[in-house]
Amino acid sequence: MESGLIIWIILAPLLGALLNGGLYFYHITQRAIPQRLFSIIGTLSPILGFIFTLILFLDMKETGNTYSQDLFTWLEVGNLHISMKLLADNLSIFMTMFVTFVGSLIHIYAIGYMHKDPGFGKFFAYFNLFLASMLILVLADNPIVLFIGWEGVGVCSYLLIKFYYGKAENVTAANKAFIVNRVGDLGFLLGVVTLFFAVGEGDMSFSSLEANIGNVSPELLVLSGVLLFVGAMGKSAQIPLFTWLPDAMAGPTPISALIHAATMVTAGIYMVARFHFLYEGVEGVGLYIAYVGAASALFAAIIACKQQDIKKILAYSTMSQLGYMFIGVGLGYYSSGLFHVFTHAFFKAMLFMGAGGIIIAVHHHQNIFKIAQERVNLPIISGTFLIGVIAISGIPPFSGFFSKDAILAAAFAEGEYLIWIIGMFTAFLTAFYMFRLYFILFWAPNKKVGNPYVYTSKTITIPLAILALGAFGAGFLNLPTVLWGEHLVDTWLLQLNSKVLHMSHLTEWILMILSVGVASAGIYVSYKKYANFDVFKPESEEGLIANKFYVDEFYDKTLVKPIQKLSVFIDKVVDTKIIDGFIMGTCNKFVEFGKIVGTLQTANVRFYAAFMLVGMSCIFIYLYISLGL
Amino acid sequence: MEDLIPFIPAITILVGALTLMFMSLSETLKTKHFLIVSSLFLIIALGNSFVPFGNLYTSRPFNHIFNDVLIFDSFSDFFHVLLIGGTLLTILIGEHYFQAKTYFKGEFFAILLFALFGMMILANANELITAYIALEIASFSVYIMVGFNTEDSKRVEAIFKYLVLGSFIGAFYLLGTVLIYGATGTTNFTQIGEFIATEGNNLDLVYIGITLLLFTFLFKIASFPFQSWVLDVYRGAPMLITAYMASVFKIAIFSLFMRVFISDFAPLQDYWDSIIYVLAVVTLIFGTWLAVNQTIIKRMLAASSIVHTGYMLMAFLSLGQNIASAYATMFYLIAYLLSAIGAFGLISHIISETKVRVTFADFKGLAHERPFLAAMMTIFLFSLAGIPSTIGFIGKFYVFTETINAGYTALTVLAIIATIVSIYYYFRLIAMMYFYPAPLTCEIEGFNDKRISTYAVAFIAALVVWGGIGSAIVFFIPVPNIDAIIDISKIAVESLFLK
Amino acid sequence: MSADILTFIIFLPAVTAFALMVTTKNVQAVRNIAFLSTLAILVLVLKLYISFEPQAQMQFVTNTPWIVEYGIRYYIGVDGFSLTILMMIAILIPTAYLLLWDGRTKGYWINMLLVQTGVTGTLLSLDIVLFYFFWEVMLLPVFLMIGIMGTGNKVFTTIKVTVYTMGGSLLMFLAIMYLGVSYFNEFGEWSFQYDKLTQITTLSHTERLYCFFAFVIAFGIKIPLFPLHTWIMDTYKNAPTGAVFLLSSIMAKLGVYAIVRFMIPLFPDIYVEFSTYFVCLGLFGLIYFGIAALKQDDMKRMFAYSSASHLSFIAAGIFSLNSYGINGALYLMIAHAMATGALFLLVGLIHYKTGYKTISDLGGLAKKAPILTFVFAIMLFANVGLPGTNGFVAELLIIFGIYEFNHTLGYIAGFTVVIGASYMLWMFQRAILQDRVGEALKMSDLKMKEILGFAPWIVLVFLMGIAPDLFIDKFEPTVTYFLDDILKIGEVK
Repeated sequence: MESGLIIWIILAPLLGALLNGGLYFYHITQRAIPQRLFSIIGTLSPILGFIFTLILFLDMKETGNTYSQDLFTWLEVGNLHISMKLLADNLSIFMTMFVTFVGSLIHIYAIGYMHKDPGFGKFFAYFNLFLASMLILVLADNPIVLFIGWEGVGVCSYLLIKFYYGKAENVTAANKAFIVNRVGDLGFLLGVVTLFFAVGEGDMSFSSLEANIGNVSPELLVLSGVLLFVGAMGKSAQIPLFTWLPDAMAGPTPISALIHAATMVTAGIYMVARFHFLYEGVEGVGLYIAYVGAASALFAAIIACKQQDIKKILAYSTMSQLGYMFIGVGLGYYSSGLFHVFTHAFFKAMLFMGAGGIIIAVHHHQNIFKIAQERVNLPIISGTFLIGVIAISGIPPFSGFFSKDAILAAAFAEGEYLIWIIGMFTAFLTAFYMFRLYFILFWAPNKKVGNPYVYTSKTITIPLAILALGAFGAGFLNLPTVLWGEHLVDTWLLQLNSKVLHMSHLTEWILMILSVGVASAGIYVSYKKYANFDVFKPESEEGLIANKFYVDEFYDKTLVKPIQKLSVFIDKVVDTKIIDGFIMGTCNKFVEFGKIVGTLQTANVRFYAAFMLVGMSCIFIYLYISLGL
Repeated sequence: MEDLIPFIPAITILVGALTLMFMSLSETLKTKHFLIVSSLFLIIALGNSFVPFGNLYTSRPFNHIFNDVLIFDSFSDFFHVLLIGGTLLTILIGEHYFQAKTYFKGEFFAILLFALFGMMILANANELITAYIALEIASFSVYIMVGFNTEDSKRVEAIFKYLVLGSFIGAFYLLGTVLIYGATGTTNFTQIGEFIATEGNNLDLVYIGITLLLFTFLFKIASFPFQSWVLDVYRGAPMLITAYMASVFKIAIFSLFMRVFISDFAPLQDYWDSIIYVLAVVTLIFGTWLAVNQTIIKRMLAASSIVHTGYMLMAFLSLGQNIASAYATMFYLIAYLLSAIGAFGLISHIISETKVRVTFADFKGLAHERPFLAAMMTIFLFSLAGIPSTIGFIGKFYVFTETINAGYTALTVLAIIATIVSIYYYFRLIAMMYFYPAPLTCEIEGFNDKRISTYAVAFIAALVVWGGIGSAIVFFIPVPNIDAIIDISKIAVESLFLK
Repeated sequence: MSADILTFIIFLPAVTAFALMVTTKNVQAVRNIAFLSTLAILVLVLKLYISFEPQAQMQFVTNTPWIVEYGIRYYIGVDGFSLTILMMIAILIPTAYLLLWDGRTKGYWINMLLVQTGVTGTLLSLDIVLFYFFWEVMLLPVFLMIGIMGTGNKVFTTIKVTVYTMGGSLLMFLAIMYLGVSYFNEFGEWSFQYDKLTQITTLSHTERLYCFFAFVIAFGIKIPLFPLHTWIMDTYKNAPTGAVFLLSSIMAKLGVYAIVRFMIPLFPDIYVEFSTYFVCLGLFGLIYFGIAALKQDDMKRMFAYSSASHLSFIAAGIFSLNSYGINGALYLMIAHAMATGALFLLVGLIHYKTGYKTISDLGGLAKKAPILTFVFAIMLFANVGLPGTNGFVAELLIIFGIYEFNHTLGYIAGFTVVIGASYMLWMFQRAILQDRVGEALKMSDLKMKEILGFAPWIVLVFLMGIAPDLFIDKFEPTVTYFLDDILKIGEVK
């Protein structure tokens, strides 16, 4: 059904971005504009977006319609017909809901965080722009429009990571993020192309692709499925395209909270869910996705145990959680995966925001031991932080428990015990390193007597509080039947689910208890190790794990350096020496030979005469023969 | 009495020559006066030769006196116009040079006109001996003029080389004449033509004879293997004489040999195809090789003139296959005449001041010093290189197209390559003029040396450009189409077949 | 008027140039008058663009004899292809006038005008000799600009590029004459109109092959295709900004355009026969030049490689024998002309203001010139082919086209997404964003005039990226015509 409202969900932040951009342009060229104006525009626009979404959602909830809006024909060449069309079905509206909600909160938070920053206006322009692109991504009706949003968020992430572009490493991190994502995009694009030509008929919209998916031969289905997932790998930082995410923490913390925790990185999961009709056709690819997810989850968790940069730890935990989500969607339990996306958005955003608060409070230290040494008293932050840590560790009744448990249960039910075991172990590690973080930051004793209390601005604390509420309560939205709930999210996303969880309540109980047990074990271990840790003797940063298994170095050695060498080789040797050398060489040889010929011009008249005579006699010899005399 | 009319141009020139000779007895007269007088006569002659210009006719006046040794037709008329016009341009463009160099005494102009007279008769010659006499009148006058440059130590070398080799070749010419006479019993082209047409067999002597005549042709237009003298002689001769030899004299030679090879000797042409083909190839390559390494402008232009000879030979070769290449040749002669006189004359104009510019290096930064002259020079060089929007391009286009049309594609490929190289050595000079800063001691003067030479240069440049653009600009200004030239040359060639 | 509008468009700049040459000496006046005349042309072209009906055949044709003897005619006309490029030229040049900083001599502006005449003439002429005429003429002013106002080893560079390009053109000239002669031998009259020459039937396959490659060399040098590219690096490096701008964003495109205009109709069979090789060559060039660009230090040199990379991609699209590829290629021509042109102009400005154009010497400009950085970034992202900019549409279409042409090659074509980004962003980081080692450079931001100059480009970049259908409508019929009626491919499908 048509609805003119959808576009406004996107336009709200987009106009905000343009307005802020224009104002900022005026700000730097003409005269200064008060920070307040920027912040009002910057925060109002996402809130508006959220309100529109809410209206649409409530309407959909009661009528059960799915809405779409056809804006204009974007491109029409040959059989390729792409229209700029938006789609609000249960899936997209679900994403939109929390994107706009969490987004708005983080915008508010940013006011406090970016306070007095020279680039305040620019920040909000970018930030709104990001939200707009994210919403385009979510509300797109066909892969191309989705890709527009997909790249849009990529650029915004680039722009925001390099927000403090003066420092080389920030820009390097931004480039890394963008280029690694481009590798993913390459996969995505090729996947779309393959799919388009394989499907052969109809336009590009998801609905028609779904309708004609039958035409596609299994091989091509697998191929396009894998290629699309490569795109997801890039965006959602899965092995092997994850290296950019930790570096991306160079950006201001709100960025990390919104882009690199709550929204953008989950685009990969969303996209896979979008293409559920494709992946249902090919079980193998789904399983492959699940395994990649599991591997990433474990890998990231292991690394996280040894990191010392507070934001890096959170980044790796994000990667790890994304792994869980991929397990969910890979196994075909899309609603579970997306539910974890949902809950994760709350507690991870909150954790990042807390981290941001701490970092400001201790004057931009990020090393956890350093922070612990400089520890200050931050009641609200520490409190919310604890909630977040518990939530992510999967202790009931906090949200993380339900979503994570649903995924693990799914793995078990599918009989993928290996994945299940990995998941369990990762859960243990998660509990361990998160509490390591918590204990060191707030618990481990340091000899300084009395920690000064630092005021944190309301714009930081209020969003934290709200998110804490979410982190605690979000889980109840999808209470499994065992716990006398009725799968609200699952039912809402029913269209996606190819399968529903079937297992006896007993097994479910056992699984729950197991995971709780694992989590608490993790907590216990980390309590033993870090509760009384001397923060003035930080852990060593040697070792394989602390160095992230040298993956970056590996890529550098095997890809980056060789290509750069090749580049020099092409320029200096192939072009200059071989090709141009050949061309110029021929010319020079020609000229050289000309010199030799020139020596025939001995200014000697007798020689000339002889020369002529020889020539003439040759001609005569020729004549003699030809005339046959 | 109307038999006399065709003679008027030639006679005018002769009278002019004599007048100048007598004038040169007096010491009081300045070069200026000689210039005026000679150009006066030239203009009259030109005007007269324009009278029948472009209409189809042929006549053998005073047949009882001259016994058919002279023939006046549209063809000769065409060449008369070219020759007189060329000479006139030479004088006008050299006005500065002649006055600057003290060694140009009055008699020089007399000799110049004698040379012209010889060439004009050459265009009319219908008989071997007459042709020889005309040729020698022209040649000897040129020998003398080559030696005029008393300032240059190389002049003696130049004059003697030219003299010796020229007479050396002349001997072969006479031998050829004798052989042909022996075979045919006549020296008259028409009769020889008839003889060839009737007597199918035992023409061997004729072949050999004509080959010997051909040597003269090849020598005068400086084709391989007769090119050796060019560089030294051009180097030693006064600038303008070089121009004169390179353009006008060549045209005169062509006038004779095209006449015979198109009409009278045509049946035999195939026998020389392969020879001329090879010679054309070698001339192109050899000339190119000579040209790329020259450091002295004059020598470079001389060497490049060898390459142009190669192009002309291509067209000359194609005569046997399609007559259209005759028009191409004639057009190319005009194109080359304009470009060469322009280039040489311009240089002579520049070096008229004491400070000598002969090497490439001397031209550094000319564009800043003399923007106008540099621009003109660029036009002439473009034309020589055959770059579009100059007459040289159209000329090349005609010649190449006709050569391909005659089936000599490979030869054309070679010519194209030669052209590519030629772009290099012509463009070097442009680079010298434009891409280097002006010499320290330089007074910027635009188009402010208001002398005849400068105007003549501008005029020629205008012609060159007009020839290149043809009538493309007809939308704005109606100008005569360059097709006119082709049409006239058509008429000229046609007239050869009127009997 | 409407009949001769093209003639006006072609010759107005030249006439203005000659008028200026003899009248004034005041550089500022010359510049302004030149600017006005280009604006006038823009108006004319807009009029043309509006009154042009989107359909296949030639419109606004003028066809009068030029050199009767050889049947050479002054034969010009415009179709979807040429119109689009004409539009591009008409918009780019006047705006570029606002952005050229190194034009401090009278000759500079006169040359710019002459080039415009040459370029439009080349674009519109349908008689192949007339085409060659303009093709050569348009280069001469550029050579003069490089030689006179260039930097570094300019004389050698100029002579090299002259001989290089003219050599190629002369080979084409040979092929042209050959075609003319064979037409003459078949039909008994001379003609060099491309639509007449297509009727030739006598040529053997080998002959056509030779002619085809003579053309390819001429156009391949200008584009440049892979082995014929060695002239661009130093030329772009040493040439003044204006010349580089003209070479890269306009003349290179004409090479591609000429392939479509003349080679497809003249040698359709050979074109199809060799398409695979050329697509491969194009893709190879894309990657090869892209990698070469990575470690360049001189920015102009780097952009030389980068535009070579893009143009190879365009060529690949042109040879992909389907409407996706060819439409995409044409679209990328325009997108790339804007992006690269703007980038070259910006580099020119940076060079002019800081005195450096080597990446290692630059840095920290973003702090001093945020607006310049902003424009730079937009053009850079357009160049990289980011969605929302016109570059994306083009690259998407070309990838589709090449994929349809051959699946494997299609996957290779996808790499355009990665390559461009990597070297561009790395350059952007080191040259513009990150702080400079050593003291900061003297740098001032864009002035209002310059912002105005860039405004239309930025607007177009986004407009063409957000609503591409508006623009593709104009030339899509022509492409379909080429495919169906000339290459006879569309019908088979």
